[in-house]
Amino acid sequence: MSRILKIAARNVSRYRRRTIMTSLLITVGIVVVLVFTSVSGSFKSLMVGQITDSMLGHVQLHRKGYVASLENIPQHLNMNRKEYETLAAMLDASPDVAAYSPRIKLGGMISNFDQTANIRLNGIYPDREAETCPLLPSRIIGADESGAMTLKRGEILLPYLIAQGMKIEIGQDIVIIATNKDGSVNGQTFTVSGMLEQITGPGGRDGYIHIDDAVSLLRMTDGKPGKTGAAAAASVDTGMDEMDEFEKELAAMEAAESAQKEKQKTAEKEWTAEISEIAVRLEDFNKLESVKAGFEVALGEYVNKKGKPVFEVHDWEKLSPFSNIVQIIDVMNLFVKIILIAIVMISIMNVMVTAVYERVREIGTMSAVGTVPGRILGLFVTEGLLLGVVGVIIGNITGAAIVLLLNINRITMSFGRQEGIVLSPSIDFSQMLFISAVVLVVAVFASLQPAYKASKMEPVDALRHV
Amino acid sequence: MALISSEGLSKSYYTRDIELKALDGLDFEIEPGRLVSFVGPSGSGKTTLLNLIGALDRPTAGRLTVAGTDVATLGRKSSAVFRGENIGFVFQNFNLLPVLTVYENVEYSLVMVRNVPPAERRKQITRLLEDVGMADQQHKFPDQISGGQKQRVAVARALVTNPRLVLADEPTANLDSKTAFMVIDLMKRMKNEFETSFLFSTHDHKIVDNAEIIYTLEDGKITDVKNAGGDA
Repeated sequence: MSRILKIAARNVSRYRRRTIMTSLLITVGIVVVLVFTSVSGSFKSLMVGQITDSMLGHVQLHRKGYVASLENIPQHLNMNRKEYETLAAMLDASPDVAAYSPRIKLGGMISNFDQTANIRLNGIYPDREAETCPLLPSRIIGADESGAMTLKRGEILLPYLIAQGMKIEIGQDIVIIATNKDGSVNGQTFTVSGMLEQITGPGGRDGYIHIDDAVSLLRMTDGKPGKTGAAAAASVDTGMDEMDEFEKELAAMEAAESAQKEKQKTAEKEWTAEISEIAVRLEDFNKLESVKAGFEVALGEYVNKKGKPVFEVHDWEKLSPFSNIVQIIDVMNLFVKIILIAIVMISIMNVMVTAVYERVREIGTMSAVGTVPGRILGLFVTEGLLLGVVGVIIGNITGAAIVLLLNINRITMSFGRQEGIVLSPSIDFSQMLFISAVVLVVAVFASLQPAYKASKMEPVDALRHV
Repeated sequence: MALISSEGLSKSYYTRDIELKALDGLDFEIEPGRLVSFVGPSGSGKTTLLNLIGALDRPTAGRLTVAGTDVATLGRKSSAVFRGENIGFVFQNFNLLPVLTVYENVEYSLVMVRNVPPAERRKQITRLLEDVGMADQQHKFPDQISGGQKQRVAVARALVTNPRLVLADEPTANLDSKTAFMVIDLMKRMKNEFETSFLFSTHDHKIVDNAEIIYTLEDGKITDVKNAGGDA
């Protein structure tokens, strides 16, 4: 084998110009693939990160049919307390879940006492929402300088376009009027604490209020009112004056910082809110598929009386139109790789066909002195492989160098109000290995036909060749 | 037992439907350790006969046994193995592999065909290169040596596997007289030293004069056989 390798290496270096040209072609192909995949990959992860971390979360859990009717904000498809607790227990037990945030979604009217407009709102726990969507605070215009997510009861984060259209300023009071699933209409005054930059995808133009405000606004009860639910119901009955009672109660709960989450969960168990969706952030985004599949299996056992599933699981791709762009990027990546394969295939096949044609007498001589056909085939395949190896080595080094240069020179871009986002292209080592393996396999494949032809030559004809 | 035995050996080539008989029913036997020359005009069938004996080609009819093997029955791989074990070749155009040095060209068969251990290989090659007077040129590539030197290397390559038979097709055709005599002399020495049979296809009287048996071919038939004895 080492002798075949030695002869092949010498043959490859024998036609220096041809080898350089072929290796250069393969190098260019590999560089294009590496740079394109790293830059597009960086763009993709940046955009996906922006979307999932600003609004969607990585995965969302709903009652079956909710997402299909998402535009209508179907309150009758909210989860009841028991259903929510089922999901919460599953999420709490999962080591793959970094954070999750229950949301109450509602549609209503906003009034600044001068104009009215439609608005969609999310009732959230600010801290849990910020844990699940860590970039949400960065979307807030007029946010706290610390970047912390602050949304107290009685406050609202308004979509920027609505605020601008209605000439609403931060600190101004507005009224939200909403209808609950029973058709009961309620109104509540809020103070605008900030404005939200819109983002593409569902919920990208929604405003935010505290989840307890959503409970009171929608007068949520399930016939088994808990402590908070009862209080919420009381707040509806007695009007805004009763809100102070709530705030005191909430402030008392928040005072115990060490047990904050536990208390919040306890509070969740007590209130009677119906949750529209749960946004989930995973520990490792790369495990999205497997974690989602795990959720689907775990939730598959919950069926209604008709045997239909109660819950549905959606990852961000199913919820955001940006996933189409991601798919386009993936398709472009695929095409670039196909072009690389074509380049390697054509260039190596061309060189090897020429090499066989030029060395017919040599093949005849090798065969005459007793070289078996398999070894002749091995020799030419090795030559093709070596051409691929040279291209792979130079291509990977050059590609890595270019990506390094791109990182040093920093490519910046804007996305929404976020300017100066730095693209950080990086080469995934496994991607590099994959591309190298593809090139080498294609190199061998491209050499096979000429090599086979060489091995099948009749020595008497080959020796006669001029 | 004869090294080569031929009965009714024929070889035809076909151009469309026209049959061209290159060899027509040859019967002959060659004993081991002989210097045999096939002579005759161009197209008489000399090279075709050598190709058949060397298992490079297959006869159309008849029987040809070389070193106890019916070469007509060999497949592509087994004929290569047979050649590697029994036959050495010396070509008119030397046919050295250009990417290998003198040493490596001689070594080629031992590595690629015979798989001889390195120490034994080195001993064998060094001795042969000294015998053919190329030991001091062993690191040179074929394009760095003269035609005569190339043919000496080719002889060394042909003999390195200790074959029972060396086939040489016009081995002196591309050499000047002085070099041709040197190569002939070398082959005679090698024949005596290794007891290898040498079969030549040639026009060159320098070879013919040194052959022990001379077969004259005309139109694919043996027209004359001379047992000259040569001065070997």
